Amino acid sequence: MRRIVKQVLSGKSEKVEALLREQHGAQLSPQFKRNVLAAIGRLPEPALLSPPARPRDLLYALRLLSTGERIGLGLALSASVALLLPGAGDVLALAEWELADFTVNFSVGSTALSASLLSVLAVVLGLAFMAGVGAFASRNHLIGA
Amino acid sequence: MDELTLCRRISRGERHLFAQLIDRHGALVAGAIAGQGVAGSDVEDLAQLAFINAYKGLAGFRGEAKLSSWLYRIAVNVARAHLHRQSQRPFTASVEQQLEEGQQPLDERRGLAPANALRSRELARAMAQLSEVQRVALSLYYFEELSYEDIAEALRMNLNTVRTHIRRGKLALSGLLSAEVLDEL
Repeated sequence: MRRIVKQVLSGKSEKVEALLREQHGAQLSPQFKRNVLAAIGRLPEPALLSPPARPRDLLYALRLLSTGERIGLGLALSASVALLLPGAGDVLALAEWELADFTVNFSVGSTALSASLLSVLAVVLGLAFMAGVGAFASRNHLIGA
Repeated sequence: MDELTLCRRISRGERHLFAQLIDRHGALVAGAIAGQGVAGSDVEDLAQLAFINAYKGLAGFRGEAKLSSWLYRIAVNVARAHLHRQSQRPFTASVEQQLEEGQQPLDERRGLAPANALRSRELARAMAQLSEVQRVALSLYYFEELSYEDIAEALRMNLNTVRTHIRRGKLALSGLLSAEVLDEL
């Protein structure tokens, strides 16, 4: 029984294949190339037409990031913007927090250091930005080569 | 000449080299447009528009993707914009309506025998019910006679994924096509 079903299916498949093969593609006319060349002959050189490079690069940079990184970046940016807004201290006070709570204390050897979270955030974002610029530069360099 | 060099030379003003690009990718562009369900008579006009758009954007092509997949995306965008415009026109009949109203399908206008034309029409109906990727893969492979490798590059897919889409597309077609059409073969 299974063999019969298999034979029927393979017979049908062969017929579908034959039907597909007897079709013709969307054949372009002999004048097609000439028409396109005539049309582009009226246009300036592509190098003179401005390519939409800028927004593409930004989108490409965002695509490089994973979902977690995008969420993290979004949170960090919104947190830093929120802290810069006037009245941020009052909002934090409602939750019994103070801006001083956002200070990171750490020690290197015997030296105790302290930095506000905002400055740490700025440094991290700055480093991420530099790494991004580096990745772009190396990518474009490779493509250029 | 490799494709990136070809694009750069065209960008710098050697327009005649664009003919090479059309020779290499004309079938792909036409197949991509036809695969979106564009009526046969419009394919050539849209293919021309796709190549003109490609020329305009050539300076922005940096070789991040294969030229074939870049051109494929342009062709698909042109075809979709065209179909969208058509759907906005209230008095434009759909392909199905045109067929039912007895308008001559392309194959009849090409002078094919009525039996062949009927089969073509049935196949077009069945293919319209496939998923986009299956339809495009089948039309590029069988109608435009592109290799699996070329299709994989254009669609940015693994070679085996292309094979699977073609196999599943054929399987789906065997269920969608009527027995009478297949028995004639």
